[in-house]
Amino acid sequence: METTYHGTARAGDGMSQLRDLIYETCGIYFADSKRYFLESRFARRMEAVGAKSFKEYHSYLRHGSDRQAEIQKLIEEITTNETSFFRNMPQFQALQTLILPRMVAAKGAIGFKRLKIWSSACSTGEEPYTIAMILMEKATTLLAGWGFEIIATDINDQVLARAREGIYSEYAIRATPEYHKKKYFVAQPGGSLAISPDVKKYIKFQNVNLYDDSRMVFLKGLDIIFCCNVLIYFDQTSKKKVIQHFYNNLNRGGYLFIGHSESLFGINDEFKLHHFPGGVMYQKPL
Amino acid sequence: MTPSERAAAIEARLSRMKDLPTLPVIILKVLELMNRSDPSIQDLSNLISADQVLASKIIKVVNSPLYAVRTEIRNLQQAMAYLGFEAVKNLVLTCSLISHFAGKGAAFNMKTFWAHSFGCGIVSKLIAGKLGFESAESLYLAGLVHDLGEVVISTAYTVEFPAILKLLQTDGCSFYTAEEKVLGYTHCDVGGWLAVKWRFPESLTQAIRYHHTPSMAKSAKEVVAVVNLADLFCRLRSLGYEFFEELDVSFPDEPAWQILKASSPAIDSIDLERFTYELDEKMDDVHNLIATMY
Repeated sequence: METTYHGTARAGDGMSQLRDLIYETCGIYFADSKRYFLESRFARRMEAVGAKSFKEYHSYLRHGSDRQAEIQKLIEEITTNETSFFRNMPQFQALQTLILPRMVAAKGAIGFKRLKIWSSACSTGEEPYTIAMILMEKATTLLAGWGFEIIATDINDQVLARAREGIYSEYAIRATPEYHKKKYFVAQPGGSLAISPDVKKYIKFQNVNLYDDSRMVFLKGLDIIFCCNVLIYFDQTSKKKVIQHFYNNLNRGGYLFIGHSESLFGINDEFKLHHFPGGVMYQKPL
Repeated sequence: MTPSERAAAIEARLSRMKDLPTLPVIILKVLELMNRSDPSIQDLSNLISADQVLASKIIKVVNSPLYAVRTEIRNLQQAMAYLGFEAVKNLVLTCSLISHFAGKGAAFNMKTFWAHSFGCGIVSKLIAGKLGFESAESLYLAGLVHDLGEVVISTAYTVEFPAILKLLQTDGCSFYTAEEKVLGYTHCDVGGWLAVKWRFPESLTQAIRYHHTPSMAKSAKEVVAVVNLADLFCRLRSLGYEFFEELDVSFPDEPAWQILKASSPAIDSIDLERFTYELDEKMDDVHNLIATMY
C-alpha cells in the first residue's frame, strides 16, 4: 500500500512544495481538500509576478529578490479575515469539558476563584463574546462563586470599535445555537442582532500590538490565551517572540489556543502540546 | 478482576454461544500463507481469484483516493504489480473481514466500526513508516483488527451493551472504561480470547489484548504501542465511535510513546501538529471508502 506521505498532492508539479513552503513560513497546513482553492489563489499571484508554473513560483518565493513582500501578498490571498461566533467548536468544547473543570479544581483548591482569559486577536469581537457566553452558561454550576474577566485586544482600532458596538449580521452568527441567540442577543431593526449588555460587561477591549514588548510584558496572570489565525502573518523571529510573551503571560498550567490547522512546531519547546478531539492546544507546564 | 478471572468469565460466557463469529475461510488461508517461509504472489493471486466478489472489491479500493494511483488499475495482476504482496494481502484481509461482519453487531454502527478500524490500520502504518520500521505494512493489519472484541461484545452481550452505550453518552468516557464498569472486563479481553481461538499470529493477539495498556504486552511491544497511538489519533481526529470522548492526550507522556522512544529516539522529532493535520486528509478518504463498501 503505497500512500505518499504528502497525501494526494501530485509530486512534481510544485504544488506540494508550495504547500510545504507555506507551512514552514506561516505555520499553517493546507489540506488536500483545499487544493483547488490554493491553485486559484496561486494563479493570481503567479500572474502578478510572471511565474509560468507552480515550480517557477516556488522558486520565486524561495530565492526571488522581494520574496518577503511576495510571501506577505500570498498570505493575504490565501487567508480570509472572516470570523464568526462559535467558529471553532472543538476548541470551545475543550474549554468547557476539559479546561474549565481542571482549572476550577486547581485554582479552587487554593481559594483563588478568578479566571482571566485573553482573546489576543479579537477582530470584531466574535471570539471573546463566544467565550463569555460559554462561561456565563456555567455561572450557576461549575463557575458558581467564580469571577471571570476577558481581555480582548486587536491592533486595528476600526475592528475594535465594531467589537465594542457589538452589532452583527445573521451571517456572523450562523453557527450560533438558537439557545444562545435567544438568550444573549437582542434583535435590531433591519434583521441584525446586538450582543446583550450582560455579555459585554465581562469584556475589556484594548488596542494591543502583539509586537509591542512594552505592552506585552504588562499582560500578566492569564489562565487561557486565544491567538487564532494571526501568527501566520508573522515571520519566524517575531512569532517566536510573541509566543515567548504568551508563555510568560500565562499562569503555570495555563493554556494557549491557536487557529485550526496552525502549528507551533519549531517555534517554542517550553509549551506542552495537547491533543483534544478535533484540535490541539498548548499548556504551560505546572 | 484478575487476568485469570477475566479469562474464566469470558470463557464461561462465550464458549457456550452458538453464533459466535467464525473466522472467514479466506482469512484462515491468508494467515496460513503468511506462516510459510516463502509465500509467493501467485499463491495469493490464486486465493483471490477464487472469489470474484472479493477481487472486484479490492480493485475498487485500490482505485480510491487513499492509494493515489496514477492510472486506473483494472485487474488483480496490475494491483499486485503496483502495490506488492504485503499491501494486497492486507487488502484481502480488510475486504473479507468487512464483508464477513457486515450483518453483525446489530446494536452498533458497523460502518463507524470499520471506518475506525481501517483508519487505525492506516495510521498504524504511517506511524511505523515515520519511525522507520522495516515492516510498516504489517502494522496495518494489527491496527485493522485491534477492536475485533467490540464486534463480539456488541453481538453477544445484548443485555449489557445498551448500558455500555449509555455510559459513553452520559460520562463522555471510552468503551474501555464503560466496559470495565459494566462487565468487569473489556473488548481487549474478549478480542484476545477470540484471537487465540482463531489462532491469530502472536503480534496481532498482543495488539488486540493490550492496545489500551501497551506496557502490559508480553511480546511485540512496539506493535502494540504503535496501535495504541494510532487508536488515539483516530479517536482524536473524527474516526472514533461517534460519541464525544473527553480525551486530552499529550503524546510524549503516553506509555506507548516511551516504549517506542526506547528503540526509535527519532520519535521525539516528529512534527506532531503537521502529522495530525495530514491524518485528517486520510480520514476523509477512509470515510468515503467505507461508504462505498457498504
